[in-house]
Amino acid sequence: MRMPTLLAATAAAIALASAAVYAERLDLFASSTSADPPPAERSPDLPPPPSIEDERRLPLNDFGVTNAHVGDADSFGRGVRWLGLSQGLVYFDTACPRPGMPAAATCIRLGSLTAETAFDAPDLARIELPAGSTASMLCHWLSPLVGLTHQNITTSRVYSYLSYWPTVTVRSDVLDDPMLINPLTGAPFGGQLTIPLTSHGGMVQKALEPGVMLAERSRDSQTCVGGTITRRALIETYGLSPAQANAVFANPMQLSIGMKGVLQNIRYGYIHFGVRFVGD
Amino acid sequence: MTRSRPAISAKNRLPLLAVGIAIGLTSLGVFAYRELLPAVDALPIEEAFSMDLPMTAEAASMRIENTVPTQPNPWGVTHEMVGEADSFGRDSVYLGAMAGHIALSATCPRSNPMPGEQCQVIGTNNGVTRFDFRNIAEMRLPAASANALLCQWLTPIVSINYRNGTSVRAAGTLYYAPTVTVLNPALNDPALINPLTGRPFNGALTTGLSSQERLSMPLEPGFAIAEQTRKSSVCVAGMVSRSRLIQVYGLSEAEADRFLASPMTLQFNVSGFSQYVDLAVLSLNMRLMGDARM
Repeated sequence: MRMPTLLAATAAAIALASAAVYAERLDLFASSTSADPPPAERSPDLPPPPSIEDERRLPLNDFGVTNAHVGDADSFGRGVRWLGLSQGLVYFDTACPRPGMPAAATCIRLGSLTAETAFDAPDLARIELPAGSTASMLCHWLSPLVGLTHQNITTSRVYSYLSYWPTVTVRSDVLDDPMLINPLTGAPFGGQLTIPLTSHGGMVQKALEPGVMLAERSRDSQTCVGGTITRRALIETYGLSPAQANAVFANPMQLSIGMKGVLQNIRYGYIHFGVRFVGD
Repeated sequence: MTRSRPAISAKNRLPLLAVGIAIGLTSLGVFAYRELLPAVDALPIEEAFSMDLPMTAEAASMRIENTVPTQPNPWGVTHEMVGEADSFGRDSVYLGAMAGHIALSATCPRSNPMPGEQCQVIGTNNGVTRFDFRNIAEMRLPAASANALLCQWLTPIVSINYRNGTSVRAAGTLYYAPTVTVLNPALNDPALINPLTGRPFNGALTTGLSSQERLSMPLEPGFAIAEQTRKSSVCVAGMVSRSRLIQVYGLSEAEADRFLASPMTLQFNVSGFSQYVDLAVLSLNMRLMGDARM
């Protein structure tokens, strides 16, 4: 299969998969009035197909490859560089703070078990990157450790669920220029931009018969695809010039991790997530 | 050379408090599960704690820069800034891979086992079967393979046949906890005490991988169902890191550096329990990464 055909097929497959997931989400949260999930297509971690403008732009590599060749030409051939880690802890309980809870943890108080609870926990973890830490991309390794006790206190079958959407807010002096407008919001960046990670698929759902109580614990990781933030995304998605995009990476950055989500029919639980960043 | 050393020095009290909090959090899941499986014990303390868990938000709020000196680095970063400064800015290097396979089955060995598979006969379907497999796979790292960090990419492939042979509703369960025992000559000093056990290291320490999982399935009477999962979990703080050797295990800077400069053997273990399970096959696969020495 020729490269353009393969890319087109891949893009179509991704679009179809995204549509299926989105349709499922719409159905599940049709009655929800809170916590709109961030659109997956706005995450720089899902790279768009290469554009003509993209082909004209000179990538940051000596290999002569373009985004059409490798999807991310700026980082191609560079070494993977360790850039540190952080972590956050969110509890869900009917009473907050939970006894014995670490002071720095966040506790979300659950209302009625049978009603949906939405939560928004910003700034759970931070990393301060010095200038020039990475050349063209930040790649996250997000590892949520999730413990949940599902419970059905009704007399009919119900679904219990937790869905959560991590975000990263990138703060940079380069984005503090009032002339710089975020095309996604129409407002100035104000020194920062908030990026949904592609980990919003972090969803747990159970069908529970009347009276059932079920405990589970899972631990997996989601590594980046396109990248948490990339030079390409800063240019194509956020409208920065190549020089401004380079300046973002050449200057200090602060990364702040937050999390939004919804849950229902959960007696108590926790999300203890660790995040490690690597760069090029 | 032998020398005396208090089991828990004053210097280590604060980090050990953080370790205690981490262990408490690690046990959270176990508390929740006791409602369903009261007969099951928690993991041994030294295995319940994982160097890979980022020490909880409490530990993070303490910030470890006061207790763990950072290696000199050209970036001038601290643990406070980036969570772990020793590996910051260094390139990632591949350090190898290993795989181990275990089965819980009605008969052992199975008719078509995985290569090198270790097998344990499963007990009565509705009873709890505990398992504890040691050294199902091994890696031998030469001296100075990494600078300050060993980072695992763990990929368990888990196949389970649940069955409820009773006349009442039940929950099928498989709980498994992978661990790694690190054999290292730098731990041979009998004066070196493992603060988590209160005993000498005797050349080895065992750490969790923060990858314990409890898989559960609601089962109506007479119901049977199979499932297979395949996913990866990558390190957070790291399976072994210089900062955690100092902070958690009480090693001095020189001892931690000697540890990382020595050859080591990694032995892969897995323990856990099952209930309302007829067959479980766990293929535990690990690739190891490190930070390059300059």
